[in-house]
Amino acid sequence: MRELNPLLHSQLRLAIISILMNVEKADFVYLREKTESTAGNLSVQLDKLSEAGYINIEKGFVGKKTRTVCNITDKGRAAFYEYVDALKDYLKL
Amino acid sequence: MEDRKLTEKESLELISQMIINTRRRIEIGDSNILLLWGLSTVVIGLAVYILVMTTKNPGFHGLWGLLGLVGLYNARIEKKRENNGSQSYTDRISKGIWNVIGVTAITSVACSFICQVLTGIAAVYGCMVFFALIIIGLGVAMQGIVIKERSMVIGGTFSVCCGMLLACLMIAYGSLYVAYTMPVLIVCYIVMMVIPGTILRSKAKKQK
Repeated sequence: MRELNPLLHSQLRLAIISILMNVEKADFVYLREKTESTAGNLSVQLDKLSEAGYINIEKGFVGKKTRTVCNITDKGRAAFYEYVDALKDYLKL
Repeated sequence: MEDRKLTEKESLELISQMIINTRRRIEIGDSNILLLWGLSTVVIGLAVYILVMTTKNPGFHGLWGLLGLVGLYNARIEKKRENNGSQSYTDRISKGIWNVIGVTAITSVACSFICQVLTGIAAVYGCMVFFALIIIGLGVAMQGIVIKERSMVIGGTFSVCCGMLLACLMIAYGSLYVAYTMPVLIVCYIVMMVIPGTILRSKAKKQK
């Protein structure tokens, strides 16, 4: 059986990737609301996913407020599909 | 949520839950834009029709310029919505459709203006009626396909058909009277924008 990707086999990181699979772009506030996580924890996990090349992070401004927008990369998408396939093997679906 | 390991079953459940939570829902904002454009066009159309028919002064067609203000207000709303947290694939496609429609609509006004300047024939602005029906009708129908709203597909298609009919009649008869074209325009905008906008609004309220 295939090993589950340890980067995705974590509650918050998997939630982030699942959200970004469904929407084209999401900002930090949106991700925090949907994952019900703290800002600090979310920020750390986003950085991990970005370092792995699974997501892109763009930092910008809306007026005077900073706005961080994330989107999934092709590598992230491929990793997610592989993870789901591996899950199906484990659960024999 | 935390950075904790899940069981395989929990992973699948989490993925499903996140997809359900982030599924694009119909929002009242979607219906408001349709209603804004639909009602503005109907009100201005009625005003133009009554004023031109009673005073016989075609100058009142200038009231259509007020739609430019509606456009500016719409652009402001769209800018706010862009910063609303997320953008789905549907949002991107919708934005693309309306960008193309917007450019086409502005181009049609520019073409009519240039033709009028070159030929001195003000009646060339009569083309705007079937441009409005065909171009906007196409936009509404395509938007209806994207968001799976049948009333918009039907309304948009109806408007395109009426626009094509008016275009044929204009070519056949040389010009069309406001007495005929304006009621058609008003009915089309009610059918393709006001009615679908009202339906979408009630669907959005039910979803809440």
